[in-house]
Amino acid sequence: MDFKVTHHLYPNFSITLALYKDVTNMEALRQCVMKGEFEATLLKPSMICDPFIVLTAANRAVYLDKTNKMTTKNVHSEVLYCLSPTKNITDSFRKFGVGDKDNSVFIVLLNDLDGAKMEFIKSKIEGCQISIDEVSNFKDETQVKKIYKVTDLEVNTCSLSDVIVSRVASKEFLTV
Amino acid sequence: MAAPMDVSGENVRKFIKQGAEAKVYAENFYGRPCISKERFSKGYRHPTLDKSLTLQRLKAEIRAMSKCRNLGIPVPTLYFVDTSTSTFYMEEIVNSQTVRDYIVSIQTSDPDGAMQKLSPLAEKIGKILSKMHCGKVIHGDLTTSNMLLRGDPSDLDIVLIDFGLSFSEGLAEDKGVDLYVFERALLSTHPNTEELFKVVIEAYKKENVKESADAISKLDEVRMRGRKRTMVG
Ligand SMILES: Nc1ncnc2c1ncn2[C@@H]1O[C@H](COP(=O)(O)O)[C@@H](O)[C@H]1O
Repeated sequence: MDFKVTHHLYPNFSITLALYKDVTNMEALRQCVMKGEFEATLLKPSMICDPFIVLTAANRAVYLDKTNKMTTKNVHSEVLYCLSPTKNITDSFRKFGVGDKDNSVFIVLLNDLDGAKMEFIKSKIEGCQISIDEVSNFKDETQVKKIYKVTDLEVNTCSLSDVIVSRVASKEFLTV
Repeated sequence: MAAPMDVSGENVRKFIKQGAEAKVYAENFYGRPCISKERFSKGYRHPTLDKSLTLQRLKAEIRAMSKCRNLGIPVPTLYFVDTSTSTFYMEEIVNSQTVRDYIVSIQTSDPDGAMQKLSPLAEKIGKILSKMHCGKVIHGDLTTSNMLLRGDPSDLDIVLIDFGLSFSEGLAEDKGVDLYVFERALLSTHPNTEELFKVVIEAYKKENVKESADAISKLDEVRMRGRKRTMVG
């Protein structure tokens, strides 16, 4: 049920996305990432309107890693930073990172061509995997619009998801 | 997301066009049809200067598109910017035709009724350009090829493309020149469109009476200069 693609520019790098609901050990999962037991990006599903937005952010994060232009310390945290509209790292983590009390999580795993890392992560999750497309059922649209400062004028011409995709893709060029 | 698990999916780039500043390709970006535009270096410029100019142009193009989006003017969704190769990737506007092709087809199929048929399109163009100029975006290369009609042409769903020469400026002079560039492009590409351009200008005025007046008087000035130049040259 994972969604896996290779990076647009670097075919030797993979991007894997997975969505879990009814997770009962979120705090422990977060600890695993913080202690470096495994590397992954754990996102808050309510902030994601469309998996394609995450893909756009992951695509950029890998590119920034490859070209030595990352802002954060590793490529998995860079995904989170790329997803966030602000240049404040702490704030990005707070808004887009999963919280201990959350019971659903959107996972991004980079550079796992053979799938071994994902197997390991899955063995740690106590929860139920569902299709990434179901993430739209979790979204808090009001909050998303507020955080990305999306105006009605913008969503007149294209979908909310596309507005955000463009924002994510152009982050370094926009003065906030 | 419809695309299945796909680890081996190789991207096929199809060359579309080579312009003066950039190469344009059609490809696929994680399952979505995509247009990529790669600015290439100009051999005659100093490499360092060239690199910084290319980057500036790229930035200006991205910013103009994002500004238009903020203003409610449809432009392609941006997918990715690769500054190391001066390439950006955007949504391919599928199921579309250029305004150029549309005008040609109407003029061919119904020469007598063309003006009337194309009038709503001209109005819509005037309205969009007025909105864009009010937002301080100068397109820099307004032609009927840089406007796409998405879906059924009668929906008048215009998407602006190619902001490669754009800049951010609120001066009436720049707006006047932008309009003049479009007038020249329209009249030279499509015969008998003087009346159509008048419709564009009327709608441009109507959309924002206060700000458009200066731009239009500048347009008149630029036209005069243009004429003088051709008389001398
Ligand atoms: N985003 C797009 N969607 C569809 N067609 C496009 C797009 N961008 C460019 N094109 C096509 O490619 C041609 C050259 O692009 P440009 O150099 O940007 O004017 C245009 O005249 C269009 O026919």
